[in-house]
Amino acid sequence: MLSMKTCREISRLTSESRYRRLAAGERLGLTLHRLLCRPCRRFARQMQMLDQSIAAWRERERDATIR
Amino acid sequence: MPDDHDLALTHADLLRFARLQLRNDSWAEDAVSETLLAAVERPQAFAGRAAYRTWLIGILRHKIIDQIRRHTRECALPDTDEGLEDLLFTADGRWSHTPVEWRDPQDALHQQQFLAVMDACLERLPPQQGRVFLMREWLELETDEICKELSISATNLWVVLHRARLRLRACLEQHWFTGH
Repeated sequence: MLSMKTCREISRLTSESRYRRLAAGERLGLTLHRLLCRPCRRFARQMQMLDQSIAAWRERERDATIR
Repeated sequence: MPDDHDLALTHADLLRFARLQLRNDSWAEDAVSETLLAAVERPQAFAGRAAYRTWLIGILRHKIIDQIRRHTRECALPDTDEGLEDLLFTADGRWSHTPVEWRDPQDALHQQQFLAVMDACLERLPPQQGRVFLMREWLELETDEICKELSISATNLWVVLHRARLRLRACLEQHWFTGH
């Protein structure tokens, strides 16, 4: 039986998934938790928007022609 | 070659960037001086005016990494920033406040304004977090490179990156996605 992770642990895994490949068990735990937890689904969407924001910022910094 | 006005602008830009990344004024000034020195010493490496700033930033990235390498010990202070996580979650690991829905950041009309908020939020990260976060997101170093330069473990690195993300999330939420 899978042990349920807390939202705090899930938030950490959400960040780590950006930087390393999660193990299958971790990915399963993340998916199952999000199925049952609306706040963590919303957090995951916010983190996607954060990544888009960072990408936009990096693009501006890299682009020599706009400045 | 670029004129004095271009150079002055570029110098200010490079310095702003080096400061944001290094969080130390004297290291940042060293990195920028070394960058401009390298540019002056081998102008033949520069291919065309439009790409001048890009070319300099390419050199600056290397000089910034050199500075981090030179100051590894000072850069690798342990991150003890647990406060935000403790605020966000209850003692049993649940959300203290349910995350809210964010508005779309891709709203083109506000793009410049949004990037200014992003600048401010990045500047507000604690020094250690800011350095590590930008090593990853701006210098685009791999996990193992950052760990090597800073002599920290991968687990430590992920904790620092996670906390930086939580801080950015809080800052952007307050100043853009819900406030505004």
